[in-house]
Amino acid sequence: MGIISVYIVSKAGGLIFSHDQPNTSAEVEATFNCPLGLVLEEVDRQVVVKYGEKHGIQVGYSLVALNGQPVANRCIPDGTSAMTVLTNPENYPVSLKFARLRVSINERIMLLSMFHSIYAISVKLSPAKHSSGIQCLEADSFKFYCFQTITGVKFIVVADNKQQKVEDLLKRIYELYADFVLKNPFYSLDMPIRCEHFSTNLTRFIEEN
Amino acid sequence: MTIYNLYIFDRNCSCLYYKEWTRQKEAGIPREEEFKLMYGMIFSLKSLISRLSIISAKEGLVGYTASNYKLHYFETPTGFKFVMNTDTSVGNVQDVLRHIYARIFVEYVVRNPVARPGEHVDSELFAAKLDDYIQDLSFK
Amino acid sequence: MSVTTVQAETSQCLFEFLHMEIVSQLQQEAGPDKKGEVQQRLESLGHRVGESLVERTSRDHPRFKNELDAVVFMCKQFWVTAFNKNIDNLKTNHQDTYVLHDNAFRLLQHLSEGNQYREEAQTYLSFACGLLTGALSNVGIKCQVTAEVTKMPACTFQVKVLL
Repeated sequence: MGIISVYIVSKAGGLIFSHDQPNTSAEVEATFNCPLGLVLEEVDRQVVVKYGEKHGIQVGYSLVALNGQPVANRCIPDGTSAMTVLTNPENYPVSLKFARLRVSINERIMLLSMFHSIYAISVKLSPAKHSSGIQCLEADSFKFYCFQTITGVKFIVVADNKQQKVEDLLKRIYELYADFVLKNPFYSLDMPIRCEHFSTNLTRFIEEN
Repeated sequence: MTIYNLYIFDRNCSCLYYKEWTRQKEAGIPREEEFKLMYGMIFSLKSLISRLSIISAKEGLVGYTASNYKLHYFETPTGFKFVMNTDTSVGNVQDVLRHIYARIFVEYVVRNPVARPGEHVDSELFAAKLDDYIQDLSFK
Repeated sequence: MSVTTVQAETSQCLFEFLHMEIVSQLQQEAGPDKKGEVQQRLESLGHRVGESLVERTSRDHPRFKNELDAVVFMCKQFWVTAFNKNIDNLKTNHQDTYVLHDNAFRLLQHLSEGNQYREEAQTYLSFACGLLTGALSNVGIKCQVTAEVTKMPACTFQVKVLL
C-alpha cells in the first residue's frame, strides 16, 4: 500500500493541502437476514456501525451500498432513507456493503490543528536539549511522518509500516512545494493550495515511489 | 541506550509515579503542570491515531520519535499508562514496558497492602526494583 | 509455567488481596489510632480459620507424639498450606516457648525490603498469629502468639504455651 495520505499544514496550524492515495480501504459485502445483528446509527451524513461485528464488518464501518444501490447522504438513489429500509422486516434478506470510510475534510482540518499544537508541546516536554518536535508518530498499523521546515510549514505523510525512506520523500515534496507553489505568482502564503501543477507532479511522484 | 525518564499514569489522569535518570532540559513549568500536559498530549495523540487510521487499530499509539529523543507508550487493559523517554538509538521497548508493568508494578504496587489505588506510589521497594531493572538495561 | 502452578499462584493472590481488603475495611471501621482493636479482630478471625485449616491439613497425619511434634508440623505442612512455604527457623527453650522465624513472610514480601512501612507491617502479622493460636488450640495446645518484624520481609512469631 505504501503511502496513504499527504498533508501540508501552514505555520499557523491550518490545513492547506490534503491528498489521499486512491487505494481500496477494506470493503465487505454480505447478505443479512432479519434481525440485522448490527446496531447502526446516523452520524454526520453517514450510516455507521455503532455496535456489533459480523462477517468481518466492525464498529466504525459505514454503509456504502444497499442491494447494489449506492448509499449517499444516508439515502438510496430513490430518496428513501437507508435506516427506514432496514427497520422494515419485509425488506429482508438484504445485501449490504460496508466500508471503512476516510475522515471528512473538516475532521481532518481539526485533527491536524490538534497535531500542530501537540508538536509544540512535544518540544516543550522534551528531556533532551535542542530537540525538534514529533518527526515520526508510530501506531501499530501505520506511521505518521512530519517534517517541519525552518519557516514553520509542516509536511505530513501517513504511510503504512512497509514504506521506506519517507524522510527523503518529505524533502522531495518540500522541493515540489517550493517549485510549484511558492513560485506561483497567484498563490498567497498560508492559503489553501489550489495549484494544478503541484497536484499532478505530486501524484506522479508518489506513484513512482 | 540512555533512558531519560518514566511516567506512570492511572486512568483518572493522576500521575502515580515519575522518575528521571538523566534529564538535560527541564520543561520550565512546575512538575504538576508537566504531568497534566504530558497526559493531555498522550490523550490527544491516541485520539488522533484512532480517528486517522483506516484499519481498526488494536494497539493504537506505540510512541513517537523526535530529533533528539523518543517517547514510548504502553497502556494496560486496566488503564495504566507507562510513558518512557529515551534517546533515539532505542528500538521497540514494548516488552520492556510490559515487564515493568507485569513484574515490577503489579508485584510491588498492586500487591502492596498499604498502597491504595489512585494514590501516589511511595513504596521504596518498588523504586529500588525499578531502578535495578533500568540500570541493567542501560548497560546492555 | 504449568497450569497447576498458575492456579496455585492465582489462589494465593486471591487470599492476599482479600486479606489486604479485610485489613483496610477493619481500619476504616475502627477509625484512626485504634490499631490494637484492628489487630485483635484480625487475630480472632485468624483463630477461627486456623482451627478449621489445621483439621484439613492434618487429616492424614497420625496423632502428635508431643508438643514439639505439633509445633514442627505447624512450621512445615501447616505453613506450606497457608503461605506456600516453610518456616525457616525454629528455636525452643524446651519449656514453654517456641520462636518461629520466617525469612520472607508472604504478606510482607511486596511491602518493603528495608525500613519503610514498619508500623503498618505489624497489623499484617495479626492474622497469621491468629492462625497459629487457632491451629495449636485445636490440637490441644493452648498458647499465646506474638509477632515481631525483624527486618522486612523477615519476621518472628513467639509462641508461649499456657498451662
